[in-house]
Amino acid sequence: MKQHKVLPKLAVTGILKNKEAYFPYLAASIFSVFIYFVFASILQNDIMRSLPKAEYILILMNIGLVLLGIILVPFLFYTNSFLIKRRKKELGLYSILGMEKYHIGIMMFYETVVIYLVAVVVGVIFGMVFSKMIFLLLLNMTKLPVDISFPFQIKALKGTLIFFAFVYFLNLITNLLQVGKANPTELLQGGKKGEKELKHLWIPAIIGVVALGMGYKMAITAQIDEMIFLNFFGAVFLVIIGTYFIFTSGSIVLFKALKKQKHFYYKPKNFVTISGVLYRMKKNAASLVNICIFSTMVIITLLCTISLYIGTDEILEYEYPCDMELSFYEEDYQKEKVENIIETMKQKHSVTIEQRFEYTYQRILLEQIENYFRAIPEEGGNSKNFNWVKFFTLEDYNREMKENESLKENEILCFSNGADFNVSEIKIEEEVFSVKKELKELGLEGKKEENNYSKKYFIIVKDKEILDRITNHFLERGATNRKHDLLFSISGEEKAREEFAKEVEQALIKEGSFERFSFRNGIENRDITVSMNGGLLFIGIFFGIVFCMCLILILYYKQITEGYEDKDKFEIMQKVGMSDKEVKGTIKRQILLIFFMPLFGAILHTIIAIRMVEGLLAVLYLFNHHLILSCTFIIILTFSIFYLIAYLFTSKTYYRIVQRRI
Amino acid sequence: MGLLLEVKNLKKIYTTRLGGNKVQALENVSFSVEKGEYMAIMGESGSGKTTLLNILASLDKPTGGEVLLEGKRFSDIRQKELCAFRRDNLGFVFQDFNLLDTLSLQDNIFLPLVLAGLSYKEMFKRLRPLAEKLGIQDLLQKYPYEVSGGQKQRTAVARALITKPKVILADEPTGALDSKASNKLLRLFEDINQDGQTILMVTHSITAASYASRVLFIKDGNVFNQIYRGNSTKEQMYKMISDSLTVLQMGGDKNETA
Repeated sequence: MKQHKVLPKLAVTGILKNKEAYFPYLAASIFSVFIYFVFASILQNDIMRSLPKAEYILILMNIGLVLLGIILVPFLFYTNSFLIKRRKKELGLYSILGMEKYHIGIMMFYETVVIYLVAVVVGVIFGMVFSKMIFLLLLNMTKLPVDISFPFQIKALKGTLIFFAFVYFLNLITNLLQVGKANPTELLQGGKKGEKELKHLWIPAIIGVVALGMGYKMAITAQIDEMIFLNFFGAVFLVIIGTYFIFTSGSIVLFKALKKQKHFYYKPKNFVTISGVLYRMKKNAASLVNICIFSTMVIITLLCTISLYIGTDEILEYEYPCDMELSFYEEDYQKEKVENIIETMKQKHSVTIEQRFEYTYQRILLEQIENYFRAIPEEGGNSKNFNWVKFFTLEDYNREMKENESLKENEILCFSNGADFNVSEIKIEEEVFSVKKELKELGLEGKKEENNYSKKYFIIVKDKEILDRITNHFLERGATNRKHDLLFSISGEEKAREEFAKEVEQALIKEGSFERFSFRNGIENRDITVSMNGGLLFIGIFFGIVFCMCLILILYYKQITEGYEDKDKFEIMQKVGMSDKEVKGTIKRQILLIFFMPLFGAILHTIIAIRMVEGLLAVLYLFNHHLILSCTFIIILTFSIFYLIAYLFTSKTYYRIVQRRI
Repeated sequence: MGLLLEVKNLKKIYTTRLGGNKVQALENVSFSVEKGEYMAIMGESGSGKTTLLNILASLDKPTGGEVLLEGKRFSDIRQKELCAFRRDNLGFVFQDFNLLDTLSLQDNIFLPLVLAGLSYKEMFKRLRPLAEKLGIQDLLQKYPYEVSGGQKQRTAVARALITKPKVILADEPTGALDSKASNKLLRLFEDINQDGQTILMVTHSITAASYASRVLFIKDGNVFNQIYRGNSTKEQMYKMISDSLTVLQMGGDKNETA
């Protein structure tokens, strides 16, 4: 049969003829394949599995790949549905010229296959070329040991092929359903359908304002505690709902109200602009909501990951003031044995020990009400007020910190790793102590004024007698067995330090007499944090790029749609007596208003979200207000510039469509 | 009655974009329209009607010759002022109505006035009698996609009339209407013409042309023939037009019938 030659040809010309709509789609497809393939290649790579401390990155990348899939499916689906709408007319023509639906179906099948093949082949080639570079970038960002070999991953290729086959199959099915449903005249008419005036818009408008207000309130008043993640998602949900309703109904209600102001409305500039924007909003609100949400996501994702990455050193300094932290129960602790192990290992790895602190303390979880500390009430209480307090003696303090303080019976020294106490007295159960001095630093613990979340308190009392007395108040209620901690830093070669830390831990375990000792290896944990934060940034950037791609494409298609619709209007307005300049001015005003509304929304959302972002980062021990603010500023600025460029770039197409030669 | 519009030796040559091919749309067209006249221009597709209308509308520029409105040369009007000129002097009625979907019928009618910067009180004052006359007073708050073709066309007529133009240019105004709506519109045109409005209409339809006081036939870029109605009835006019068209289509020499 001849048709089997004609149909593939028609499919290819179909794509080429509609290149204005298809090429961006194809480019986005290629890019999607590229990113997906790169992610999959990194995930499937054996080096990744063999690298030490890479487990978290693997988990992150896994989550990333799944998220990528979740984003790409609806996105490619959306663009495809746009394309099929555009092509209805052409398909209607084919149908009238005598093509059966079956033939159109086959043609669409060929078309999908062509797009799939081009996307996959080009995407994978790009992926193969660049995946090694991207892999090195990842290793660099996560400070993982650089490994040059990065073999081609057949498994990744398979995964990519299957995933995108699924996506395009889905698109093909939708297209076939669309064609199957319609008759030729409907196809010929394409998307042109009248619009019904919606009634009672103020109801959703109010819902939108209320939801947005609630979301904003939640974000502004959020407390930094274990609820922050829940609050965050709650706020995000409310803001999305609010944005949706405000864009779809609120804006229309607003412009309608403006329209009622006759003196204002019947002015040359306002007249066409307001009615035009009103009309556009009705049609485009949903896309604009998407653009707004996408933009907000890009900004917030980048804000979190970049702040975290830049603040990593600061976080580590705070979280791990010493390289190693050995914690024993006092009754288990055998000084000689521990010293022996450390000494042996020291010599074995030729490292030196610095900043050594050793002290015995009583740790109690207490409820704090201003300067009053008491046992946690039986009936519970607000866990926000529960804080760990470590009590230890002046003797330990003077010895370890090389100080020469003296204290009276009822005097104490105190230290907080968060905000200062700033009180002259502290009441513990029924006993009142006067604060002789509030320490601004304590070698074994960092301090951050901004820390409101995971506060630890240190209280230094005169002697053991008082320590016992305090402990006795809480024997049944919160006091654990007394502990003995050993903290120190190690200097020497990187590798030796690592080995040393590891072997000390192993030796202590082997020794066996310290059943319940805990061990915090700062050297290793720091590396994990570094690689985590680097990995998060890596994923953040990639998702930023993917979101941006989605954004450009949505903008682009919106501009095309607008362009074709405005073409007629443009002509009518000219015929009715608007000058070229006036028409252009009007259109520019409308388009600017429409396309910059989402950006404005996104920036507003971000500014409101800053407090919450700070809360989220505080949970990860980043308490740098200035850093987060400057990151916000720079990211918003950069993103706005990007948005502007994307807008200018896509609006070129718009003007090309609209422009009429005179 | 004085001369309103003069068309002298109009010539229009289109050059295709890649150069090369030249198409002559108008070869040599001259005629004049008097104040209060109702003139129809007829011709086959490709005869140059639309080009002629576009030039009369100042939307297109002739390659040669000139157009004068009340003695004022189109070519003397600067590009910048052209829009205002068009707005103040010409009213348009198109085949496909050219109403903006974004505006209610009332606002569509107001559009040229808003552009001219009139106060909205004045606009309402002008609208009321006009809407009544055109029978659209109950539809003013509706949108173009909510009303019938005839109603759309009457709205377009209102938009053309509200600026009190010197001449109404109508391009196949009945082309997209059913016969009932067509007749209604043509009676309306007749009506407003009797009120003194000059109308210039391009049409295919003999019925539409038979309402006019003069019919101009165009063939291959030239004025082929003219028919004056004089005291004839519509039916007689219809016959004359259809006879002329037959001659026109069969091909023949130019001649003039008084």
